Amino acid sequence: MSKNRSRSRRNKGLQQAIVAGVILAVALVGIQLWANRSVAYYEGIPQSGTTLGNPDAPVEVVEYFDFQCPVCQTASNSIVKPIVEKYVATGDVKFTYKFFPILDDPNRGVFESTRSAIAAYCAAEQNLFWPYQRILFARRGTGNRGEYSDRNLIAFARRAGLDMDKFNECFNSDYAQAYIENEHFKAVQLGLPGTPVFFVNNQPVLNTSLRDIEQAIEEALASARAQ
Amino acid sequence: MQELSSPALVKSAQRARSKLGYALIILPLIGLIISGYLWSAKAGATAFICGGLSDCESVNMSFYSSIGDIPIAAAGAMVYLALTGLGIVTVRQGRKANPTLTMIAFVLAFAGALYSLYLTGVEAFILRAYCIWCVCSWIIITILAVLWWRRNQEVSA
Repeated sequence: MSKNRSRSRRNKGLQQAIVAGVILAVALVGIQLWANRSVAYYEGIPQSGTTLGNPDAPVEVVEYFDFQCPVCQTASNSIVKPIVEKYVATGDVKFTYKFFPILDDPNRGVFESTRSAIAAYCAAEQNLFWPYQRILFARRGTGNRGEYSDRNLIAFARRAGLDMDKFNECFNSDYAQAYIENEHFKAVQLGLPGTPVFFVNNQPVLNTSLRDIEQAIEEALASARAQ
Repeated sequence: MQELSSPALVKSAQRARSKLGYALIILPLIGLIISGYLWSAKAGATAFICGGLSDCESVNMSFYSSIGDIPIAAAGAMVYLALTGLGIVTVRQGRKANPTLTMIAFVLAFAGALYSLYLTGVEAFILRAYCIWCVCSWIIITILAVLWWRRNQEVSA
């Protein structure tokens, strides 16, 4: 009798341990998913390709950029983020990034500006350009030193949660390469001196400072309200 | 217990127990080394060495490689450290090992094995990239879960 009672107590203990182990593992998965869902500044705002914001917004801000350009990297935090929080989130402005890869190193045969632009275009195809650009800018790669190597760009795509079959197909395609070359050509035609260059409703903002861009936005908004 | 009355059988049972004891200390130590290495590689202190068999960097840089700001490898190292400690304590206690400690070790190892199974699934179906060290760690923690299960049965017998 006592042997049976002891065995039943032992089995009960092991069953409880198994249940505890399962609960702990499930809790870990849940905590991981919860903790990793960082609330990004662009979350909850409509995204379409490289454009963020209300498609019918009265004002559009465009930035021509290169991922390897240090000023663009700084601007992503010091200019783009505040504009998104202040104007894009309210629906007054839509913000568009335009690719202008100018910092490749053809002499060494390294094209990290173009390759990162192609990768970001492929992320935009899946409407995941914004999380992807955030990862790329955070790496602060410059000088074609391997930060934006194909291998890393693919790893970043995984990290951003992209569909990897679609991404790889696009990343190695001629059409993505042609799109970026065409974007580069259009920017050259505009006579842009370098990156970054901001436009507010098609008007270039001469100084790349938050104050000047905000002033241009306020003027464009006032003009739109007056109409 | 009658079947263990013969000295030869008692000796053989003791030998098996001592092998189990070694495994309960050595396996988490190996796991600790692997986790520690992945942790330092993620922090950039060492390079990812995968021997061309897998893509450790992609896996360890992915969305799934941390819980908030805590790298999974660091959490794994803590679990292996705890299991090493529990292994040393309970092996020294022999058959009179504290059942609560062996139960805690089993829960830790079992939860770790399930969570590692989930992470291996993530590698296979979401990341489509493998990290050989992570797979080794999954095998180790799974073996540890089985060994701690056996240890629990021994202690509470």
